[in-house]
Formats: sequence, C-alpha cells, structure tokens
Amino acid sequence: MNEQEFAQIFAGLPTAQKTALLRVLKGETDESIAKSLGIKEAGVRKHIERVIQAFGLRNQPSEKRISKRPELFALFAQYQPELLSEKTLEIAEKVDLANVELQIRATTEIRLPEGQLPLDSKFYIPRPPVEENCYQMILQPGALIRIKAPQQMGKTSLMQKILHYAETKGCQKVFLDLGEVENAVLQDLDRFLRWFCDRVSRQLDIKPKLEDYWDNEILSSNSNCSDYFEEYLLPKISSSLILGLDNVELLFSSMTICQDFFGLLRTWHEYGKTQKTWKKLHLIVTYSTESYVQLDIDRSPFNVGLPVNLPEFTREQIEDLAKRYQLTLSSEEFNQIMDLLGGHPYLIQMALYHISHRQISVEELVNTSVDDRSIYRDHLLNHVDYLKKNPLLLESLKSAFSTKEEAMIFNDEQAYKLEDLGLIKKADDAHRSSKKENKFIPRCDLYRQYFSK
Amino acid sequence: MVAAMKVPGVENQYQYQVGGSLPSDAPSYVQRDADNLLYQSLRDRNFCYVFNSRQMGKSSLRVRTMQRLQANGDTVCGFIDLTEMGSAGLTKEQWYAGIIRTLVSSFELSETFKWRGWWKERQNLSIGNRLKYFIEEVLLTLIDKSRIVIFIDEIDSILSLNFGTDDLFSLILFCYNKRAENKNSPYSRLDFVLLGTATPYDLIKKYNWQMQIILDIGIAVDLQGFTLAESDSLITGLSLKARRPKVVLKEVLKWTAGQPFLTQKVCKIIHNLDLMIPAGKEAATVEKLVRSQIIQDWEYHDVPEHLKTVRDRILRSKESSSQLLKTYYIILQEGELKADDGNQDHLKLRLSGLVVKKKGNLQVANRIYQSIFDRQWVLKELNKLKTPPPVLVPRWMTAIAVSIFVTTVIVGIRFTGALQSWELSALDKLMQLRPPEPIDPRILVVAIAEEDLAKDGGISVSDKTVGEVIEKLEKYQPKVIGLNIFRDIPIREGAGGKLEHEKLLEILKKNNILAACNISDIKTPESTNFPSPPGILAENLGFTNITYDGDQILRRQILRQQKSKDCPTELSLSWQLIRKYLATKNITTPEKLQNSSFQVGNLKINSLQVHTGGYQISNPDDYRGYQILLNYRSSIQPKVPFTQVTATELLQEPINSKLPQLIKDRIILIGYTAQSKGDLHLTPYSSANPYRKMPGVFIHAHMISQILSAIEDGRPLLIALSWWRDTLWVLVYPLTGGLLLIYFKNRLISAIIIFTTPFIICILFFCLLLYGGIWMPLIPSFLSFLITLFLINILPLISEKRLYISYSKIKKKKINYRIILLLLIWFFTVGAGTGVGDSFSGGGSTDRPNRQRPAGGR
Repeated sequence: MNEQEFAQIFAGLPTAQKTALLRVLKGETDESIAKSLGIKEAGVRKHIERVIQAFGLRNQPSEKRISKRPELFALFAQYQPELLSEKTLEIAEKVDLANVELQIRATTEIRLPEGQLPLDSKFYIPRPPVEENCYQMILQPGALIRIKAPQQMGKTSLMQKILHYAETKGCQKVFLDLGEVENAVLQDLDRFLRWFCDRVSRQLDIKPKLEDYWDNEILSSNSNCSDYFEEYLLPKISSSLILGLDNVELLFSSMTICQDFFGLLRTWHEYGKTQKTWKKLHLIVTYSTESYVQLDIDRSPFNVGLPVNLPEFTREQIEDLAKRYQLTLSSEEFNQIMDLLGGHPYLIQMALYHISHRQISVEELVNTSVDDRSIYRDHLLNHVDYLKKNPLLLESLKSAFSTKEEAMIFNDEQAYKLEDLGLIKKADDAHRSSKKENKFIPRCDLYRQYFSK
Repeated sequence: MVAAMKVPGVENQYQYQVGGSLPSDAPSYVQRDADNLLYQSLRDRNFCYVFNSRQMGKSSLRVRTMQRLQANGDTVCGFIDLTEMGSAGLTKEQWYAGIIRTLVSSFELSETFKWRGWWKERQNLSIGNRLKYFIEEVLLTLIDKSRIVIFIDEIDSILSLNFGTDDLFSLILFCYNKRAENKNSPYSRLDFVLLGTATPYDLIKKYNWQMQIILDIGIAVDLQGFTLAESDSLITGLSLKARRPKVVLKEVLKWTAGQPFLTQKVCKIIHNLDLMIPAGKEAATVEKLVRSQIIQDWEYHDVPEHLKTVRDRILRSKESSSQLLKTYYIILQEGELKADDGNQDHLKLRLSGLVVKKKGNLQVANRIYQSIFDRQWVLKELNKLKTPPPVLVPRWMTAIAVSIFVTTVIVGIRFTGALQSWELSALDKLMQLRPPEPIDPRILVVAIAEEDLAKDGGISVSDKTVGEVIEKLEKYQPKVIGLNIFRDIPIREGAGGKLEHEKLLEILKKNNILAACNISDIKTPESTNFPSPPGILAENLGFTNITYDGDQILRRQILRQQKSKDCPTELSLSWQLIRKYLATKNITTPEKLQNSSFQVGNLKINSLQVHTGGYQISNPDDYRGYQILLNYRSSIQPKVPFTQVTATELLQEPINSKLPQLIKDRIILIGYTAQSKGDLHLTPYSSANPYRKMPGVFIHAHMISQILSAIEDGRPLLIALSWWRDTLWVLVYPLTGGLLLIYFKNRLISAIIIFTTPFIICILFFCLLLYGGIWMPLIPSFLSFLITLFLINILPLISEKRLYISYSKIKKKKINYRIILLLLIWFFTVGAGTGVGDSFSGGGSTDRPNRQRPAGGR
C-alpha cells in the first residue's frame, strides 16, 4: 500500500465510520464513543470493523476473530501519525508493518464478502430492472422506496448504490442503520426521533439544534420531528435530501413506535405531494420482513411509495459473478453450487470467494458444507445462536426441516421471523401443492441439511 | 396500430401507481364523478366530507382537488394529516398544537408568524378559544387570498385517540354558524373538507350532536370504482402492451370493478409485461395475470398492502367479525343482499371495501375480492371463531323446492275439484277464441223452425209432415237420416192422427233411418221420458241423452250408456248415425264399447275418466257410460257450422235446385230449432252470451261432426292429458320462472318475466288446443307460477329476518312490494281473462240431482 492508496481509502470512508475512527485513533474507549454518538458499542465496533475491512485488513477465515486494530494503528502511524494519540502510537509500534502489508496484499485483490459491498466493487451483480427502477424513482420529488428482502440479500448494497447514484445527481445523502441503535432507544419514540434528527443533522454537517425545536410541552414527538425537518433541516440544504434507513424491521417489535414512525414517514411522503419543502425529502427504507404486529386499523397502512423486492441470483448472474472472480467452473459445478445454495447472494459470494482462493474445490465445499470444516460454519453458528434465544422457533424450524414433506407451514409470527433470517422462503409454483395454503420451503438445501441434523 | 402512434418519451414516463395518493400531475389519474362533485361543492362554498373504504382514491382526490382549487388563483388550500401527531403518549394539547403547526406550515406562514410563542402566550386560554383566535387572528388575517379551504385527512384516527377532539368539530361548526349569521362575515372565506375511512355512525357515536350537525350541513362525496368511460387515462400505459388496449382495460375492470388500487395494480402488471397481448387473447391473458399475480398466494403478492387491510377490517374485533363474516357469507352465497343503511354490519362491510352498495343491494365489490375472500375463506375464519356459518339454501334450490311444493299443493287442490268450474270456464274462453271452421259438408240439418210449427198447429210437428220430409229426403239418396224428434205416440189425436203415426212408423223402419228415444232411469223426471217409437228395432234407435256440467253447460258427448226398457238402445243417436255412415264407407265400428278406448279407422278414441283434465269431481253419475269431450266445430256466433234447411223449404215445390246436392250422401238430422220447443242447451259459447242456447239438433250435429272430421279430416278430438303429465306441465312454469328470476337479478328482466310468462302460457296452451285438441292445465299453471314467484320474493326476507333476529336495531325489512303488486295485478287480469269471475258468479253449484237431459223434442 502506498500513500496515495491510503489517502484514497481514508477519504472514501463514510462520515459515520470516519467519525468513529478518528476517536478510536485518539484512544477513546468504544463505550465513550458510543455514548457521545448516541449509538451502541456494537455499532462503534461495526464501524471500525468496516474501516479495517476498507483498508484490506480483514480477518482470514482460517484465523480466529482477532481485532485488527493494532494493525490499523500501524497503518496510520505510517501515513498519518498526527491522528494518533500517544497511547495508540504505542500500540502501533508493536506491530510489524511488513506483516501488515503482506496481509493487505493478500486481501485487497478479493475481499471476503460481508456486509455491504463497496460502491465500486466489481462483485456487485446488478439485478435488473431493480436498480434502474430505483434510480428513476429516487429522483422524483418526495420519492419513497421500500426495499424488502431477507438478510444478506444485498439490500444495503442496493441502498448504497441508490444513495450514491442520487449523490452524483446532486442530492445530499444520509444513511442510517438502525442496527447501530441501542435497543433502549428503539423502544422509546421520543428518544428514537431525537436520535434520528440528531444523526441526520450530523451527517449533513448541520449543527443539531434539537433544543431549539424540540419542545414536548407543546408538541408530540412526531410533530417535533416534522417541525425540526421542516423548519430547520430541509430549509438549510439547497438540494434534495436522500434519506436511507437500513434495517427498519428493528422497529417492528414495538407497535406504538412502528405505527407512529411509519405514520410519520407516510405523512411526510403525502406532504411531498403538495408542499414544496417536503418535496425535497426522498426516502429509502429497507426491511427484512413484513411487520407481524397488528397495526391500528384506523390508520392508513405504510403501503405507499415504490415497493422493491430483491430477487435471488439467477444462474446467469451466478455465472457472471464467477467470471468476475475469474473462475472457470463447469456446468456440473454450477449445478452443484446451485443445488446447495439456490440463488442466495451471500452464500454464493462466500462460495465463489473461497473457490477463487483455491482453498477449496467445489466438490469439497459441497461435501463439507455442514460439518466443522464448512466455510459456512460461522454463518450457520450465528443463526443457531440467534435461534437459541427463541427455543420454540428453533424447535419448529428443526422439526419442519426434518419432515419429508416438500413444503412446511408455520404460524404467521414464526414465518415472518424465519423469513427475515432468510432461512425459509415462500414455496414457489414448482413446490406448491394444489392447495392455496401459505407454504414455505427451506431457503436452500444447505439450511435443510444443517438444521435437520 | 395504436402503439405506433405513441410518443416514445411519454411511454417511459407513464407510471401506474399502486397505493398512496397520486401526484397531482400523474398521468394515470382517473377523473371520476366525485372529482367534479367535490370541486363544484367547494367552489359553491359547501362543507364536504369523503368517507370511504381504504384505497378508493381519497387522497388522490384530495391532491387533485387542492391543485384544481388553487389553480383558480383566489383559493389557498391547507392540509392536515391527523396521523402526523402520532399516538404514543399523545396529549390533547400536543394534538391541537400539532394541528396549528401543520396549518402554519401548510399555508407557509412560518416566516411571518411564530406560532410557538403565540401558542405559549395563550396557554391560559381554552383550546377552543385558541383555535378560534388562530382562525381569526392568523389565518383570516395573514392570508390574503379570498378563499381558504382546509382538508383534514385520516379523520378516522381520532377514533383511537384517548381524548375527545370536540374542540375541532366545535370550531368547524362555529365557522359555519358565523357564516350563516352573516354572509359577509370573514368566516365565509373558510371551508373544511373531512376525509377518512370511518362510518358517520362511528363518528356520531363519539361526538354525537356535533357530528350529527356537521354531517347534516355537509355534502357527502361518495367515491365509486372507475367506470370504463372514466378510465381513458389508464389506456395510455396499456397501449404499449396490447393491440387493443381498450379491450384489455375492459377485461381489467371486469376483475377490479374499477377499485382504484387493484385497477392500478393490474394495469401495472400488464405494463410490466414483456409481451404484447394479441387481439382476442385479452380476457384469457388478464385472467391468467390476475390469478397468478394477485389471487394465488394473495398474502404473498399483496405488496403494497391492500387485501390484508381489507381482511383486517373484517377480522379485527372478535365480537363483530363473526357477525360480519356471516353477513358477508350471505352476500357471497346469494349474490346480493338488500342494503340497510341502519345496519352496522352492512356499514362496516362497506367501509372495509369488500362490499359495495349497488342499486340498493350489497354486492361483493369485485371479482378479485370474491375469488380471494371466497366461501372457503369465510368458513375457515368462522371456524376459527367457533361460529357456525349461517344455514343458507342456495336460491336456485329454494326456487326448485318452492316450485315443487306449490305445484303439489295446487294439484292437490285441483284433485278435490275446487278448480273445476274455473278450469272449465277457462276452457270455454279458449274455445271461443278459436277461428271459425268451414261448414261440415257431411251433414245437413233439417230444421223444424217456428214457421214449420205454425203450419202444423204450433205445438209439435205432425207425423205427416215428418213422414213427408223423410220421403222427400229419401228421393235424393242421403246416407243416413237421424230423426231427432220423439215419435213414441201419435201427435194428432183421433183416428187420423193414429193413421199418420202408423204410416210414419212404417217409414222409420227403413234401414238408413234412425229414430230417437231418451233413456230414463229413476232420477229422470216424467216430463223428459221419451220412449222409443213402437216397433222400431234397437239397431235403428239412438238415445238422445246428453250430460251437463255443474254450470249446466254441455261439454261432453255420450257414446254408450245403460239402456232402459222404454229406450232399448245402448248407443247414442249421434254414434248410431256415425256407425251407419261409416258402414257405407266400409269402416267398421265396434259393436260394444267396453274398454276405455277403441279404434275407429285410424282414430283412437279414449273414454273420459274421472280426474282427467279439468274434470276432477267424481260423481259417478256424471261419467256413466262411454263419454268423450265435445270439441265443438268453431263458427262465428250465432251461426252454426252446418248447412240447414227448414222443413218448409224442403217440402216446397218445385224444389230448390241446390237441395239435391245438399242431401245426396249426407247425414241428415231432423230436429227442432224452434225456440218454443225449449230444446235448447247451454254450450261453451253461451258463456259469452248466456241467453244464446243451442238447439239439440245442432248438438247432435256437432257430435257427429267432431268424430267424422277426426276420422276423415284429421281434425283433432278434444282430449286431456293424464294427471301426471298435467302435473309436469304445472311444474314447468314456476320452475323456469323461478330459476330465471334468480338468474337475472335485474328488476326489469324480472318484471318482463312476470308479465310475459302468463301470456306465453296462454298462447302456448291455445295453440296446443287449436292444433292438438289438447286441454292444457291452464289455471293450475297460472296459479303455481304466480304463487311460486310470490313466495320466492318473500322467502329470502323471512329467512334474513330469522338470521338477524338476535341482532338488535334492525329496521323492518322492506318487502318487495312492487313485485307483489305486479303479481296481484296479474292474478286479476289473467283471472278475468280466463273466466274466474264467471265461474264464481255463474256455475257455482256443482251437484244438481240430474245432469242428464234429452237433446230433442217430441
């Protein structure tokens, strides 16, 4: 890595990550950073992890999860030592820079896919006409796009693409991941909306002035929020504001917040039809499942705007992706991959990544897919960890996956959660029996094999 | 080709919008009647409200109307979305402040008016007063446009607030009151529009009197589905994908019935197609798309949410949902249900959008809903609620059951004879309607008229004259001669008379002459006792007995009867004459008539049985012997369809040159036509004029004529169908009528069916009578038809009542009076036409001791 490359990557970091990074470099603890930014500690860690990833310092799959922060510090010590504090400089000195460079060279060519893909990644496979439709839609005044897909389908990547596209068209973008928000904030509408306004202001480099506009004595939280946007934020910016909200399904667990917040978004969208100020606000939201809480019937549902469903990869798209990994696989090998993984974007990316590293052959990958050597071991264990918190769900999933029946039936709430996790999907025509029941099938054979064990 | 005419740029921009309001310039906006109504009402300064089911286009209508109003230049519109304020921990103060905030921003006053300070300064005032001041001091002062319209959307959200919003409604009332007091008050610049998915009932329940008044002064704007004529703007997007976009749109509307959300959605699906819909494949393609992309797995395809919200509105509360489902089930099964605006279930169903009111009836709003929320779905949901579905007999089954029931009852009543006189009169009417037939060329009637009587002394024709007549006739070779004059004793007293009588008796012994007598029995009174002339062989004798119905009308002919000592023949005069006549033509007739039917030439004659046709009264006397129905030869009354000469004309010398021809090879009947002889009988033709009776000699002529023309000319005899065939005919009309009525729910068609069916029955039965000689069960058919339709119209109302009996606040069901009135009118017009009145007034008595009389005179 040379200085130019370093500068390029550093400049390309999103504002939120940069903010967190600068504080980490100064030696602040994650806890204090989280507090001052109003996000979870895990959020901070995630930011830093992404920074580490951006610099090509991602863990190798063979390694255990070790923090690469010292290596990061070492990089900065090399190129921008003024950003470091004494404490962090000390850590940096202990690291062998040559080794770091070696690591970077190993990973910068091909990244391990996780989280969103970088904007310019050659491994982003467009899924027409989804992108085109969204590009066209997002520039409409008062636009609202709702992207719905299970986890690891590429929602965030798509949203980033759209945001980036809008940015090139002269709009200002704000990206908020609700996954970074502390649970307590998500449970309290007023706190959440304050956080929301604060984050949007900061990302726009506008000084948050909540105390001037937020007055619960007079207005409800919703009205305060509207007022803040209408009177302060929106007039401050000259162009359109593209507001991307990632993982909004996290709000679904609380009915009142869900209802009030989405009601607010709906209202803003409606205002955008007639009021000049609100025409400037363009919204993108992503969520991994429909809300399973019953909303108040006396309010219009959040069914406005352009709904976008992200489809799985098709065979052609997988072949295309393999080409980008510079892989030449036989038709039989593609069949094997697809039989195991279906069109699951994340699992496919993982598979192709590992194959391209020559660490594993297709056959090996398929044969070891559910044992300890599996490249999906972490991924699957993550699912198990999550499911263990909800034993009933795990139980019904296991029993459903073990049956010989082609299609399974879950109750609504279970179905929503499992679909959210991407473990199951609605049975399509090929699998559907004559009855019109709501039937599901495992998302891919990998899951069936693993969870039926 | 339509597609070629499109401007390329437009095609790409054209968008269907599914869900949410359409931007004011959306090309796929469909302008409806409601658009103009709302706009015009607001221009005319009226308070308006749009309460409708979800996703019927309320918000789009609002956006469009706001734009149209503002385009006038003199109007400025404000918009409040009542959901903006949220609901969690919301206080009344916050709610109203939120409204003020929204209004300030909506009217773009925030630069000139700092509302927060203003609001805080007035915190000691009541909310109602603050609102009033805001209107007066701020809105009406700061806005210079002459007209201000405030649209308040999502009004239904106030129903779930935990505080009342009376002040808002008071404010609206206050504004309109001010304006009523003084037309020039500044308040007349201000108007309100309420929009939402609420029933007026719900709002009134919460804000009783205020809301009542508000809704009373307001104009309700009802949003209906798109009609084909209104939907022109939707065609643009389809024209790329179809050769005949208009036909495609028509097919789409067949599925959506113009429901805006679904219509836009289906159009969008078509718009996104990769192929072109070819001409002729529109219906199939649209159906396939709708089924595969909306109906199948609908919960999965329901993005953005629409069908789920419809479902949730039905199922949201456990208490009311079972009732709603039941009512919906009835609508689904019956196709429709009479709408009742006072019934909460009906209103709720309508508000869900699932059901619409059309021409006073509730119907499922469109085919898509009908396919998704189908019978199985309702049963499944009811099952979840542990509520049994309402027991409903399908209407067609009701129709069949009622038809069969009514027919059975009517046939049963007929069996008792209660309808007999009525049916007989109806038969008479039909008989009278027949066109005249030609004169029978086989028969010559020698009439003894008043002038002939006068020559012979006025009481009876003399033996001498009779003898002369016969001798004169014999000269010209008639086939047979029947003397319908009783000559058992000499007419003139004294020796001369006796001589004349004996001379006549000699003449009567000739083989081709038949003499008449009357069979008497215990019941026969003395005055009608006419024995046979002495010395005449039985084979040259025929009895003249005829039999009447209860109304004294002669409709039957006796061929054979038990003989008596003084009239020793079993065969009637007419039958004897026929036999003799046929014998000359080498056609044999059976000696004895024992079986219920016999064959003459190629004609089969069946004897009349009890319970055939309209004859249902079983009085053994009435049906004694061998009887058949008498099919009178039709003629223009009072003429008779037979050639007749008087005795005087016959005996005239020189004889009229035409006479020999009239006699040769004919059957000659000699009898009285003189009124004074009293040998006169009531016939079906008499019912038109009761005084017009027929002389006996013509009766015999009719009897002979009907059998001979049946054998020789193929003219039908009058017959009746067997009882079960009759019953089937009686069943056919109510059955078809009932089923048609159910199939065509349309009122006009119902009326047409009710009006025309009796006509059709009449015409059909008349034709059958005319050409087939069949006496059809006219009256039973009418009765069963009318009674069945009457019941079918009443029954659903009765069953509905029973269904709702547990449910309070039911207005009295309105019976379909119009249909019933129609039926009654028909009952009487048809009744009058078929002689109901006659039979009630005239032929009432059915049991006279003697129904037999001689047809002839001494």
